[in-house]
Amino acid sequence: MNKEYVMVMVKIVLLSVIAAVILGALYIPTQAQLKVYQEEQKQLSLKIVNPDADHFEPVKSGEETLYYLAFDAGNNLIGYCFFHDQPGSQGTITLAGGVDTGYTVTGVKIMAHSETPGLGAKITEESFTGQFPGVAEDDLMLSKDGGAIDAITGATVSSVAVIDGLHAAMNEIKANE
Amino acid sequence: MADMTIAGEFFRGIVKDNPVFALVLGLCPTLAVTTSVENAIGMAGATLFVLVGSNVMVSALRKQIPPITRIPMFIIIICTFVTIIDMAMEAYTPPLYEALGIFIPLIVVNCIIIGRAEAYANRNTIKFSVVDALGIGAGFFVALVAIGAIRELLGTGEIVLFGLKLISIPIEPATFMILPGGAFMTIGVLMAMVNYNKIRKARKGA
Repeated sequence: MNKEYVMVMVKIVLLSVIAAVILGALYIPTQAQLKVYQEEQKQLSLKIVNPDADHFEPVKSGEETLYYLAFDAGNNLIGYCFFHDQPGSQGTITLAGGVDTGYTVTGVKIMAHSETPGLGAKITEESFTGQFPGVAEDDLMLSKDGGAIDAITGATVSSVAVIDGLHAAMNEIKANE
Repeated sequence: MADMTIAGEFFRGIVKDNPVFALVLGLCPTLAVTTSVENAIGMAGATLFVLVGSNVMVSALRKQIPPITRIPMFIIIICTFVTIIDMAMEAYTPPLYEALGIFIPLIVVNCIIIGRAEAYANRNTIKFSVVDALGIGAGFFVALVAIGAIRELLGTGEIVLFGLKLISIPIEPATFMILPGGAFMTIGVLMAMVNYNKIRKARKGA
């Protein structure tokens, strides 16, 4: 009887160990791939939010990257790019944004969000983000408030969150300039 | 058991034992991720992988698994496969992974998988367990894609698959269909149609 219980335990432990070893072995390559992907995404996003820039230089505070300086091919500073987390209607919206040196938006890209599919999730679409390039800081608000951005129907909170995120990031850059 | 055929066992999973419409299992992911065809395919694919993996392992180990601890051991096996697909999707298909979100880890508690381990793989050979997993997985796939297609088409007016626009209909998109209410309605109507068909067939036979 006792032996039987020991066998049961041995089997469970053995199965768990095998599972752990397999997962451990797979964790390393997938994490490496994930890192590569995230870094690629960041570089691609910077390029999207400031298409005129040739290269970017991070502005750091300790280990943390605050924002990026965008340079053209002649090494002239032409703007700033940033990643910013902003609370949306369902969760955090992570956005990439770019502005020129006069704080006119050069581009916006939504990196990650958990807004309602079909409603707030439309903030990722070109029809929404495409409104941003060329908008000056003072016009950066919803058209119903006199700004230049049309909110997504049924998703005003998500739309405003993107706009607020851009303002917050710009103010951060100004504070650090 | 002698009258089991491979084809028969496979199609049983799609029609007679369809996990969603006949067994009514796994409704949580069915309702949650069928907002688009693409999500439905991703979810069904991940579930199929876990189902085949766990069925094979459970079937292979069925003589070694002590009956009193079979459920925890099934769960360990299922968890392992879910974690594999979770890590793989996160690394190699990040947009799909983001769209499916929490429902990938939650495959662990999907009753379809533990149900097949307990009811089928624990009692049958590896060969038939694989066929059963493929059949049930295909049934789940068909159900999810059907619901996803209806909801995406009515909810957004078009079906977009991996960047390709497949169908576009000139209607005012009914946002309701994308929201949870649309999921309940779609699944209810489809299930009613399946059952109506079943009853009609049974009456004809009688």
